[in-house]
Amino acid sequence: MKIIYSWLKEFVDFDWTAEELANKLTMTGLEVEGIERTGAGFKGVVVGKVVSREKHPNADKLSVCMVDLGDGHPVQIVCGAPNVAAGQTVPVATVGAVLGGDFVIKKAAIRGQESNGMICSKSELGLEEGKSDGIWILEDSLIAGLDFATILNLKEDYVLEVAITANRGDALSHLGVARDVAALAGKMVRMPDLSIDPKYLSQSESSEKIKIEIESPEACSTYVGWYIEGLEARQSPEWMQTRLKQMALRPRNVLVDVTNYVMMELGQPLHAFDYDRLKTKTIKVKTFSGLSFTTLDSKSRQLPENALMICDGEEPVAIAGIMGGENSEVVDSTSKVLLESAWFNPSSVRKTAKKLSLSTDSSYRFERGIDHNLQTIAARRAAKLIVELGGGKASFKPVEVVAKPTPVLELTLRFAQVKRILGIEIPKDSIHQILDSLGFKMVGENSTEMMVKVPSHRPDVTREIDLIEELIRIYGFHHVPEAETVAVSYTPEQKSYYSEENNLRHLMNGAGFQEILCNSMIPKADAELVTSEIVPILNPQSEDMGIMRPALAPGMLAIAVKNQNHGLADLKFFELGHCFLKKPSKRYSKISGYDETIHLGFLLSGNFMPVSWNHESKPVSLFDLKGYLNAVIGAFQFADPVTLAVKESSYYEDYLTLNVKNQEIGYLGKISKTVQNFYGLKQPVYIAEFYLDEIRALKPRVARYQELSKFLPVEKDMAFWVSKTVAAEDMLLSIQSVKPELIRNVIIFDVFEAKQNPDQEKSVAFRMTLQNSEKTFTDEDIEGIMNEVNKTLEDKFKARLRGA
Amino acid sequence: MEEQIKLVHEAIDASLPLSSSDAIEAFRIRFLGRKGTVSALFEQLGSVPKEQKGQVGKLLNELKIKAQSAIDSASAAENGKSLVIPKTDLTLPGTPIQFGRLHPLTVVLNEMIEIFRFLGFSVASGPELEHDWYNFEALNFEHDHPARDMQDTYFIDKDLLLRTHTSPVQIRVMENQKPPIRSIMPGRVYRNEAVSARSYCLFHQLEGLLIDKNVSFVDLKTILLAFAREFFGPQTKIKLRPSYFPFTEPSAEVDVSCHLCHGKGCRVCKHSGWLEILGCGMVDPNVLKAAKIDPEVYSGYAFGMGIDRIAMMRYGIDDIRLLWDNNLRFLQQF
Repeated sequence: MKIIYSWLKEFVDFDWTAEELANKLTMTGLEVEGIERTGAGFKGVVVGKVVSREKHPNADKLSVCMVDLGDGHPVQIVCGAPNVAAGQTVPVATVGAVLGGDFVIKKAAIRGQESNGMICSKSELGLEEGKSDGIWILEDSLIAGLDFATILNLKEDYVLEVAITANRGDALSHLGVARDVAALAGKMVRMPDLSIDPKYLSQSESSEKIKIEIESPEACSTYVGWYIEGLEARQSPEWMQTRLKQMALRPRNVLVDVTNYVMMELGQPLHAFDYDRLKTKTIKVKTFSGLSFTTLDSKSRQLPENALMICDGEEPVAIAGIMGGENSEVVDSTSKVLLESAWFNPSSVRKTAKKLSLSTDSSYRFERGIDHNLQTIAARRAAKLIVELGGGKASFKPVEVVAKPTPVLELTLRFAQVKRILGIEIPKDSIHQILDSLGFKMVGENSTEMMVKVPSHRPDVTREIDLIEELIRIYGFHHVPEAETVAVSYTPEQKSYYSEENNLRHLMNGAGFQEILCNSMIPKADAELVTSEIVPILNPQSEDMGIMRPALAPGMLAIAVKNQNHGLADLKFFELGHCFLKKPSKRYSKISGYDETIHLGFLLSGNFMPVSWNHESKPVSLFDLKGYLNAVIGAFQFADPVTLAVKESSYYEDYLTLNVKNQEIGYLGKISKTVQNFYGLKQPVYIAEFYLDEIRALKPRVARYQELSKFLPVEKDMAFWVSKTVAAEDMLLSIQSVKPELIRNVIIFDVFEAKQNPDQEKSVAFRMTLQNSEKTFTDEDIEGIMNEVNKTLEDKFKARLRGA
Repeated sequence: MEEQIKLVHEAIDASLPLSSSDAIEAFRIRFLGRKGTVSALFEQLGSVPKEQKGQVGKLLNELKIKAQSAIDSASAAENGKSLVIPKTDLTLPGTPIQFGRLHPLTVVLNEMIEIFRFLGFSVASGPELEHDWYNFEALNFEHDHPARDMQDTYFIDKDLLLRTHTSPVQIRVMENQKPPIRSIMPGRVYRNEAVSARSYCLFHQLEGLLIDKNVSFVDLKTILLAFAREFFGPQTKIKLRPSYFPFTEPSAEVDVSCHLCHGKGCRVCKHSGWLEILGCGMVDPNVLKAAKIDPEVYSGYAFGMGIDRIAMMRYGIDDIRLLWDNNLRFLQQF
């Protein structure tokens, strides 16, 4: 909302500068986002007479002029304009003058000639767009030395851009803002002049010309119509046009300008119908459904269900509170009008405006609630201005229909409650003064509470807490002190995953993974590569952000490509975030029909380590990723072991799921060529995801101390020839199960294909750590274990001990 | 025994230098192999008289080390990389071990969370896919009220949306817990706003909620000042301006004195000396009622801030999209 400084002063007295006013308004909750200085865009410009003009000795296009500035001592000014000549009367920016807000004119030497100012063109004074042809030549009758801004009647003024919060519909006018100013200044507001000179009034009542019927009193409680005839003038006066322009409204004609002006002045949206274009002279306010209607912007609009319309008899002529119709719009030839000033229900206007995707200055105000006692006042003010500025005569009385009176709300303010909420006491004097100047009427008071009547312009104030807010808003938060202590009553720490998630992040950092954060809204094609159970957004900003991510992989891959295209090939990053699936299950989700779970994803690509003089660089493999996964699984500390299952996936070409007791807790894989090509990735990418909700549901391992063996461990190596179809993990588990209490650890330290038959056989070499907690192993003990291992692998896998 | 050891020393010296991998392997088998000379000497150690055992053992170990280091240095040379250089040029860089880093938003969020945990708040979380009731209705956003325009919403269906703020978690916390309540709710939120340098369609918030008996605006101001000083520095001042949020009343915007210019005015604070960082207020009685808490018995305050904007201010990031581009060269700056 734009508020004009000089206009505001018509409603309330204050002596603050625009800057001070802005600051004070901001501190009452009407945030001033900017101040624009209007009027003359210059200072220090006077009328001058060019006494003489000579060609500049050192420049062909410049002139050296002597200019009389009214004090009888002409000064030398260098001028570049081709049209300058002796004898002209011109505007001169004197030394020290300011143009365009910050351009200060200084005494200067131009090509060696002294210049004491500047002869100005229209555009240099900000009075013409673009570049002027030359200097502005004025009428000779103007006297040298006169202040040019005064001559042009350009008064300095300020336009404040005020951000009005959604609850403050009352502040969408100069009168409304003036009420807050009055409360701050300890003054009362003045209403504008509403008296209409009898010479502008006709003898007839509006009711002789028009009937008004309200069929939906809930949606329209009050409708005031004023009949005016014999309009003459078409243009509104300069002062009104200036104000409208300052409000960023385009002046059109007296009728439209006055309705806009009064709306900005008092906050009441008004509409003027061309009386002659109304088919019957009965206005009906009623709802319509599914109608096509052409508004005055010449657009045909399909009206939603139950749209409140103004009708001339049966035909709609306006969408109530939103926009008038083309069929009854005032035109240049209009001489008779019906002026409408009504109260429409905020939510009714909002519903229709929303469905039409149409927001006007009028609907904006109705949606926020206007004063339900303002209709006649605003109509009178507008009628007065129309006839005074446009000629013609207004009926001496309007038609006023109140279909549903709005009751006056009385509220009780408990002084103890003020203290309880704000923590401070506000002196009763201040309470009285604040509420009084805001328009609240005291109707009773005792030592503990007071009763007030809520003024009709504050429909947002309906509860005691609203009154308390009004008080502190004006009294000021600076009166609320900070306490000496941060006193808190003990509450047990609520279960949260913050620490756990942060530990994971730090683990990943320590392992060299960079954290990334991806957009959760991804393109449909990307999502559908992962699953068909996608969650689409009904109103996406763009196709690229149409689906809630079903997994972290798509986002991570998109980021991998971006980095690849920036020349970063070695990628190692992770993300922790929410993923979404459309699923009937409700395992961890709070929303039925949808599965929202938290994933930890990581991505590896490129070389395992940066190139270095002491290290060979080696491309990452799935086993590097698997190594990290194992490390993270170790950190999770599950009671039960994690098993891996090789699965098929179209997204991944090598794909393994992680499982604990048949519950899938994550996966890892190398993305398939199809996916790699889809994203335009130049090298293989490895991805893993953990499902943290599943993991949180698992039984944790409880650490228990076990006595360390006093006897030294022995390491023994065994290598086997075995068919390539045998899984190394199965062999590993089989070895461990031979004597779990003695074979403490087994690792695979070598794997290679047989030279003779590389397609069928491989060698797998194991290193076992043997340790007995009871005694030192004898050679026989060790031999016994090794024989048993050998036999087990022979039986189970037809493995042959190498070198045997 | 000692004589034998001396002979083996000489034999080793005579075999050096080892100029091929075959020579190295032959050397290894000859001296350190299972049946090698050194190994054989070790086996004889058992028969050495007890009092000489220590001395002989020591000599044997030296012998073994000599043989092993001859193998090691020859192998290294054989691999084409001399270990001689690193031993002398210690200025060579170390092995390139790299830690990852946290995303700058996580860094800022964690710092805030730690401050509030220190001040006694628990961390709560909730779904990003949310019901209208939690996101709006229970928070005193009436249907068909312009307050809903304050937050452009993404919808999944008629009743389901992407939460536009972390405030719905307030309701979920109040549903699951009886007062006193002291929680903070960090998380990701969504607004259907055009993507530009200044705004993105999702961002992060951190909200706080405290409900107890006798909680007033004084307590709110106290906790906000404590936070501001912990986060921005001990000299920080705060200024409250009345504002409007449907779920708090009275409501205020909180400005903190600019941490860069200390209130003198600079580019970051747009020469005002103040930074607008959070919104706050006393929990609206309607919100307490929606969560079945009696507003005549309990009162509370709530506050919330946008993490992304604060991170941008702190690090001097002038384009919010950089936070979502995840260019590793950008991320590694934090």
